Amino acid sequence: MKFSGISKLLTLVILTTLAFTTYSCSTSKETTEATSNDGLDDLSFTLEKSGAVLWGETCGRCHNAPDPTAFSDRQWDAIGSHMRIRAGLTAEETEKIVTFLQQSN
Amino acid sequence: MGKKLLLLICTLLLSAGPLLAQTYNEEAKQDLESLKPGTSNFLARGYSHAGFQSIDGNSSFVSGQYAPILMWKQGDRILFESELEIEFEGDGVQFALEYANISYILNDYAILRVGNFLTPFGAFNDRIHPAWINKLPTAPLGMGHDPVGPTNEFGAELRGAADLGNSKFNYSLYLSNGSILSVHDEDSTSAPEVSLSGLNFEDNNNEKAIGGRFGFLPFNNSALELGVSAQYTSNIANKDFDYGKVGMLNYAFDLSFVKNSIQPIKGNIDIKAQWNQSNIDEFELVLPDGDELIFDQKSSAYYTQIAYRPSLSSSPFLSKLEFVGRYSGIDLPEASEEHGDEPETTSPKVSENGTSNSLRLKSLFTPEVVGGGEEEEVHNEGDRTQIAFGINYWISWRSVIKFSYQITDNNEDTFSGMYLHYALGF
Repeated sequence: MKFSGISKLLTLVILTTLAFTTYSCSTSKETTEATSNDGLDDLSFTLEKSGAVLWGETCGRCHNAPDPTAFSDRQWDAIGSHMRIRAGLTAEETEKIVTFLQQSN
Repeated sequence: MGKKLLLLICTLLLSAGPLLAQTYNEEAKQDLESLKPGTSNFLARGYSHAGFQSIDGNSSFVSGQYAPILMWKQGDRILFESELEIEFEGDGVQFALEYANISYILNDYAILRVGNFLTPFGAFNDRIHPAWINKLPTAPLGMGHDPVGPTNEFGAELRGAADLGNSKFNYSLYLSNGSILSVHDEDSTSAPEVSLSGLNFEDNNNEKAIGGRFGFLPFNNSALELGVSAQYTSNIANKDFDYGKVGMLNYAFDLSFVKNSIQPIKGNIDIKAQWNQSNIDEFELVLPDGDELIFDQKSSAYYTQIAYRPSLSSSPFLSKLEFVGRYSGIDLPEASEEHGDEPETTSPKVSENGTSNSLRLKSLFTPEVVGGGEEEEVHNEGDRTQIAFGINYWISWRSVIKFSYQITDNNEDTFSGMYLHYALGF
């Protein structure tokens, strides 16, 4: 009974993960490195994600993306640090998301 | 001269509009700022929930959990954070300090945190347990009250996150006092009670717990996160414990997949799963009457959950609904009925003098530290599995009405529960 329950759980998790991983792989190339092919090999650029995109993707890992007008600029600063620590955000993600929220409130 | 004067007047008239508009916008923004909850470095956030529930035929309104999170940011590097839990319990109101700690941001990749903090053991305890984040009114079995695994540490932690090409990772590594194992065997006529608590704020021995969690996000849209956690303590018993050192090893695996606005299904998918395992070294208890009991505690808990919200539906009502399903279970070691009795259950341990028995922890970890306002169903003894279904209606991004129905099976009977809760994050 116990083994059966765990097996079902693991099977379900593995199957769902594989399915959505496949989907995710095929649709998650928002950040792209591109190099020109006209002979200027040193001319490369990176399309970086905006704070708005990161706000949707990163906050949504645990909860709904917050309304920018819900807090003041100073509060978003403190909340950004809180979420960086709590949810394991990178420093760059945190800075971009906080800047977006401060500019949008 | 006349043309210059005319030009000057025209210029002044043309610039007056934008200047007035800018002044108006600044005033409007200041008015708006004054209406927001606060503009100082001090910030009070938190969550609350209340509702109605019927468990195994007993219905009741439940209310009044208030969990304020207080934060103070000092400069760019220091953040103080604490969470209180105030709720009705028994005949009165219970106050609990869930955590209080200070973080210092060392650089882009490392943060030092000291004090009392939620154990980064899996993801549910650390991130998902607040009532407005957890998608069902109850916690999964073994993750809420009486959890399998640690929930709260007194110690020092290094944590951070970084990019790894198009992938990302986050980490936590900590040293802490660990848990306390207590044996209450004063009464020789009955089996001793063994309890485990996470509230080890004055360490009961010199052996520290070491633990951490590593989370890996393979895709640059952060949709998938895979986590592995572990904690080891060479001794959780008191220094003068009669039965020697008792070690403990806990480990957990967690998975999260969240993808919003998927066109083919016109909505969001949220999948969560976690498996916790807790192993305490085996030790013998010698009772005053000479009998020996072997204590052997290996327990596990697991859950998987899927939620779908048709956020892209053309119907405003449908777009605010969310459908949730969850399967969870907890496996505890079998226990004897009473001291000296032959256990009815399988694989009893046999001590040197031939006495066979086994004991179950009276309490796993301190329940107060992880409840998160989520009411645990009442049948909390023994192995159980549970299936739960829920429908949520999101009033706003942080305000939700949750309806759920769940069936718990303890291998002998099944029990049902119905919940209608309102949860608010603020």
